[in-house]
Amino acid sequence: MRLGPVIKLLGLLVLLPGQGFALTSATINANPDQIRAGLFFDGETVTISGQRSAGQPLLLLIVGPQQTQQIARLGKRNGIWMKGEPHTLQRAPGFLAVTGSKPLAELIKIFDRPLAASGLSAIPEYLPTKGIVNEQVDDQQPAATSTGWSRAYATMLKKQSLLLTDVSLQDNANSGQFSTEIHLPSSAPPGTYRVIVFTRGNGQLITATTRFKLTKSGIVSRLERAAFDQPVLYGIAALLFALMVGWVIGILFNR
Amino acid sequence: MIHIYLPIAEVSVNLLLLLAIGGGVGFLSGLFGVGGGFLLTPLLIFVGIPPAIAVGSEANQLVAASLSGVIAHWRGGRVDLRMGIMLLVGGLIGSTLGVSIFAWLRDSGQIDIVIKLLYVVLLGAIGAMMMVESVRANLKNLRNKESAEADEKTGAATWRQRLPWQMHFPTSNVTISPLLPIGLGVIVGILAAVMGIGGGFIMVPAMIYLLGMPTAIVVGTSLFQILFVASNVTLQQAMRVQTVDVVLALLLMIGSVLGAQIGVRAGARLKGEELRFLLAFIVLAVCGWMVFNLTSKPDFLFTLVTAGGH
Repeated sequence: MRLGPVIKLLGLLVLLPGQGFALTSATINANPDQIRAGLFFDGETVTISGQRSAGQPLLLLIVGPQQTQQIARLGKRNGIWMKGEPHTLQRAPGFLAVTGSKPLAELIKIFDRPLAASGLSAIPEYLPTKGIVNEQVDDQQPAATSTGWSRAYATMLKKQSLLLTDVSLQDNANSGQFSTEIHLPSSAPPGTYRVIVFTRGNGQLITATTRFKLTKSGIVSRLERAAFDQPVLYGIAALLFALMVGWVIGILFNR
Repeated sequence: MIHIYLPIAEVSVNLLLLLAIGGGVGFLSGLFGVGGGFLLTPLLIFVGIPPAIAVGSEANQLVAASLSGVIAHWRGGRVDLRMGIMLLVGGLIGSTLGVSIFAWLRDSGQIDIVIKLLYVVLLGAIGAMMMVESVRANLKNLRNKESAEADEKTGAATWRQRLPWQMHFPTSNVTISPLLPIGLGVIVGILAAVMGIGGGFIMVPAMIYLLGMPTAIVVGTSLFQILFVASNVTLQQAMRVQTVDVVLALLLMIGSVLGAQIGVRAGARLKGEELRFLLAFIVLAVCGWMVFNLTSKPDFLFTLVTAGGH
């Protein structure tokens, strides 16, 4: 019997957690990976866990479905607060959560390149590293800058608990294992959420990604499909249903 | 606390809160014959419903609330069908014109502010007019028991009688030209299409002061007209922009139909001038709130721009 491979395997097991073993990859999991929004859905908590090389920096991002958003600034004209020219934000996240092993500004600098390579170069614009917009914006400010629009959008997300920047991270310095819990509010947009971890190992930048989905289910899903796939039938059904309810209650109350 | 997830609005809202909002607005609907859209829209937005979904879904609930109210008034002989049809003809013409005007205003980029200013001007003018008239009528009633409505009719009667094609409306016991209700329907139809409302709060005072109808008949006839306007809006919103959330509408319906029945019974116990005073008070309060919103600095100076909708 050749003992070489067995000895190597035992050696690896000894070196694993607690010994600062340098992984060349990172792992990441989201639980649950499928969230169903039924009639009584009121948000959901998702547990994110994974492992990377012990002692290495870690940036964890949860990015919700990205969509085009238009945002306008209010200005006072003739004594009345009116909307100014709207600004379009491309691929703005519908939900964003961030946490890490170091202060955020430091992590963004470390992982600037992999963020861009992952198609998330715009994400730092929405993070407090560049400062969430001050609610006391100067009235005389003629227009928001490009970064200002992103900050303003981020502030709106934060007000709806759709931007989480103070998520606590359970980080085991010896094993490199980490975990966190993210609460998705009911206003979180349905779609695919990307969970991305940025770290280092063996002197290289390492990225790991997983996904979880928020989908409508049951009667909620059926009604949504009917509304968008068969709007004429849906409209007629909604009208007939309202007439029936009004008629029945009108008759019942006027016997 | 039971929360319900709304399939089109995509938010979870407290069940009891929605029932209470529906009940409160339904009560006003039954009491005054107004749809309550001018109150319901801001309330729904306040609890987190997107504005476009609020407008589409409230039209759907308004169908149920107004039908149950019409049945109650119909059984009491308080719906002038002939007058209602005239108003409806005008309303259909007006709302068709109004949709084009809405599109033109939207393209100009300031539809929101036009809508808000229209609200303020109309609510302010109508509320002030009703308040003054109802206070005057109440004072007269205190002095002598003569009917305030009969007194108030005499001034407007002269110019109404000069219009062509005079027609008698037996239920309301008025003889006027059909041009008046059709014209009123056109104006209210335009405003309803531009402002996204049923138009009851404009229609009710106009029927009292312009057409000279008795207050008791006005409420049922207004609800009759609102029933058709709301049905049309429900279909248009569902087919064109998919903003009708039937779950939200159902919860509002349950609250509002119950509230409307209580409102109809409460209204039957009140005198015409008392009803007008209360409606004037609510209209002026909403007007004051809108003026405050337009002129005071918002908490946050940025807003998302929603496509379409009111």
